[in-house]
Amino acid sequence: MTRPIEIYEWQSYSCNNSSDYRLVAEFDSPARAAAMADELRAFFKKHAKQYDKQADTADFDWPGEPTPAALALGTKYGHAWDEFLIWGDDQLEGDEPHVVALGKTLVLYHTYSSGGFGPDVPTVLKKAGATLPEKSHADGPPILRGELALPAGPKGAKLADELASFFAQGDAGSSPHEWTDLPGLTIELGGDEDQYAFWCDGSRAAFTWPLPPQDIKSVTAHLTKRGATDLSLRVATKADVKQIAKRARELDKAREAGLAKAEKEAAKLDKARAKARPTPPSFDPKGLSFLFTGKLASMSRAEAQDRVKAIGGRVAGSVAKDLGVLVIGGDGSALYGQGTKGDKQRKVEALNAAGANIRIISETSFLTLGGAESFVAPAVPQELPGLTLVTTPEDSWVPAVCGGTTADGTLYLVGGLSSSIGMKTTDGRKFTAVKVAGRGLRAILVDGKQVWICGEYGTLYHSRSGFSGFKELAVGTRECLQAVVRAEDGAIWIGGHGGFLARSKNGTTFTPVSGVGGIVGKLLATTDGVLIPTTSGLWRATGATVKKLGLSKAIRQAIVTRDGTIVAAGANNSIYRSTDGGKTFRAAKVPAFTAVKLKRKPLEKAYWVKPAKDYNVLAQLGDGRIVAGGDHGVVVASCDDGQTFRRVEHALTDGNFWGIGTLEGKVFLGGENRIVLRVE
Amino acid sequence: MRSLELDGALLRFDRETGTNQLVRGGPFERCVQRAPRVVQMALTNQCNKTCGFCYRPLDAASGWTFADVLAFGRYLSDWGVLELALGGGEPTVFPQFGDLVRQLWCETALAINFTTNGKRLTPALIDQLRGHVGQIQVSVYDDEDVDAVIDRLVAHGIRFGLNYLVTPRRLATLDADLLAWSARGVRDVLLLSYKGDGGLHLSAAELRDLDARIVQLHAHFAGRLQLKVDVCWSTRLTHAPQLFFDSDCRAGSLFLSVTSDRRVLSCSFADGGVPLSRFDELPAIYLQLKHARQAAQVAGCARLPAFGIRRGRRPALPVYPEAR
Repeated sequence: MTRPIEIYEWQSYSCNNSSDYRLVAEFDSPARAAAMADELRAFFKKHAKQYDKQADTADFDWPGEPTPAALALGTKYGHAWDEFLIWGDDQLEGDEPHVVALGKTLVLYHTYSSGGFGPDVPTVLKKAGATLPEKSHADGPPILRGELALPAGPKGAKLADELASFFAQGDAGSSPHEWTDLPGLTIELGGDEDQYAFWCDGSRAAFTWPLPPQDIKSVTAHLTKRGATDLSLRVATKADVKQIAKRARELDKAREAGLAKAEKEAAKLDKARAKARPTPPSFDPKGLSFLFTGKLASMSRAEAQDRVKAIGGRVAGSVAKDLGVLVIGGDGSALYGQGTKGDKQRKVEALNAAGANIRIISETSFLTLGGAESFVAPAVPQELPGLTLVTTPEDSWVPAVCGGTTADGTLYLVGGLSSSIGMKTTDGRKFTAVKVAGRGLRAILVDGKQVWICGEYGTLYHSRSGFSGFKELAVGTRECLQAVVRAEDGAIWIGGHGGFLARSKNGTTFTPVSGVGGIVGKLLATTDGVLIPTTSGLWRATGATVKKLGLSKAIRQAIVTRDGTIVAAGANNSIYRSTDGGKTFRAAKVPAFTAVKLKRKPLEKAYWVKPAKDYNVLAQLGDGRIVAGGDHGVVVASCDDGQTFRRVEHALTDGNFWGIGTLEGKVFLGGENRIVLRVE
Repeated sequence: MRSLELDGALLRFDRETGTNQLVRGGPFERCVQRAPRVVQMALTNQCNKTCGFCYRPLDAASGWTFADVLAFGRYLSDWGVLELALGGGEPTVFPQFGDLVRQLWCETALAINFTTNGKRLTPALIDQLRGHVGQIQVSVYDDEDVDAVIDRLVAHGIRFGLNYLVTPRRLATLDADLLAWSARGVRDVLLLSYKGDGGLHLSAAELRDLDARIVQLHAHFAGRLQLKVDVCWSTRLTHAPQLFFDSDCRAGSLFLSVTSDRRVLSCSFADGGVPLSRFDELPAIYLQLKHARQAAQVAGCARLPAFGIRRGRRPALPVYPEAR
């Protein structure tokens, strides 16, 4: 049915409402570049003074005439200076362009210069013997190529890690304006993220970095202070960014290959160990009599007898032909089947030879008997999970629905874009509204009667009486808060944009925790500490100490699976897993997604639309399958503890998933387009 | 009135009065927009001011001639575009600017509007333009006597509005400025958000303050002075009453920008662009830009994550896929 016709009428006309520049010149020697730099610095000062004086006169006609200083400089180099030269938005004096010589290269830079450096400065430079490698008025700071040797030992590892985290911020596609500086360095970051590139092979590192000349000194001092040696810096060529990015890919690949090899070796060892282990017994212990021999390694004899009773067996006093099971203690287990046997074992073997059916098992096998303490987990289903649309919150703008499940089995959903969504469910089917505080909500923590809700503009609300009486807590940031969790030690952690991370022992007074960079994603409290995914890598906090794990990629969320594997999902269609507690990570196999290429000539860079391929949320179903939700409605699942992911095809939404929660072994995905999906 | 199909609606527009009628529902649900409502054109890159917050590419050429602009206007008019908004640089420094606007008005069906710093709005130019211009938009500069320009425009009875860049400092005098201008005869003020680096972006608290004050001012003026907010504010103003709220700025869809060196952009803050060698390439370029929904790589763009505003002064919002 079509909507009835509506007519709106108003009066209005449209209107048209109405940068930094660099100039790079190459000389044939560093001395000539340095001499020209000195000359231009002096010229800019003189010119500025003369121009300001000219502009202060009553009959000044903008933009004025070339100054005597400009005419003199032109004459010196055989050029008839023609145009005005101005910069800034007020007087020229005191705001002169930055001039720096880097080897044979001379760089001029100003954050705002009307008309760039005009036609005359480039001409003078050419007449002075320089060549101009790029068009005379390129915008943005010059891109520099740096290379350095890392110091030996932990200092070198730390510097490599800091640099890797800094440059990894570009993987998330965020503007450098949003990035976090290198620890201890405070400069304005500019340029485009694709102008930043970095590689490190363990002893040397190289990078490209759009860096205004006035910041070169700070950066070189910073790197030198941290132990870098053999530091070289020059203006990058067009090929440098590509070459460094290519080298980084090669090194990543080599690292991956090394890890793969190590993992293969580890798998071989596991296999060999498994082969050496006794096969778990496949019999029902109920009603059988048990006798022990040898010293038990894991428990006392009395405890072992209690266990027999717990699994439905009974304890025998001696070897007899109706004995059900002989358990060889840990010390004996090592010799099990190896030829050195005790009296009881020899007697049992003799009885068996005479027709008895007495099972001889190791202490290890004994421990696997019985349902309640069985160590064998149920098999993970191999089929992909299904998706069901369960609710659509009544809000026309729902960019995020984030979940938090309480111990009493209630899943809470919060969300909204500058609006409030609060819902709860106990069965994953029926959702009821709850009164929440704040707008643009991103995460909720419900712990008994206490509730914390965080969201946009650094807001954190707290209540001690359930969903009423909320009070806004001052946490010291205006950044969007993405997560709130309670750690094992009882502390409350919050995190969000701008590398903001804070901890509170009492739940109301928060102390910032420094050390992580980028955007902090969804925190996870584990028995080993709080996992902190960020756009600069994955970190773990124990107590108030934050330590980087072995992953320097942009990560949005990480989980620990029931097998103890850390699985981390993030930008660039990437999911990583670690089976060694986070020391090393390998990329999981994920399906490739076709890029949206709108590269139609002559559209060039204006029409590059990058493919949607970031994973924002991650959770494990009760049956062991892992689910990740990403941009454009993409859902992938793994049935092998995060080693490979397959796409879950559906047509329920093409909006981005931003939130996730679990209830009764099911996963709930929330996201754009007013949607919450149940995954089971 | 001229009509333009929007996506799912029909827009009717009268250039003489500025009356807009939006018709939606019924058969208009099937409408598809194939041309922008307005083309913003940087007539020249020359300017008679040097402002720190100016975002135009300073080295761009000024490639339009009088005849070219006329031919371009005719093409836009035939294509279905309703308005041509001239800017710059400073459009009034374009040679024979008054004659150009008059001829565009007479020879096309477009409403011709322009944005100016007002320095060259002489009584003679105003007289020349009267009856041949939709609206003159005057940018407010702290170092210019905007009151004198307002008085001149009011005295000569020509339709005009003010462009007011809202910065943290100006927020303090917003009420006073608007009340004074209203008393002087201003009937239309567009509140612009800042785009660019530097500390002119409003903080979260300042945004909330602005939002609340627009609500109050809107109630106070009760239509005597029309307050407008630019599309780049997007979701940052949540309470300010808006006729049609759309968190997307519709750059490249509702409007297109053409630079002084003849490149087509989705908005005047965007980089790159498509060189415009022939006017009849515009519809194809338009469709591409409309669907690409590009973000401008400048802090303050509504399509950037968190508006691309550096930490410390940034209201954070989810990342929009097209901004990556």
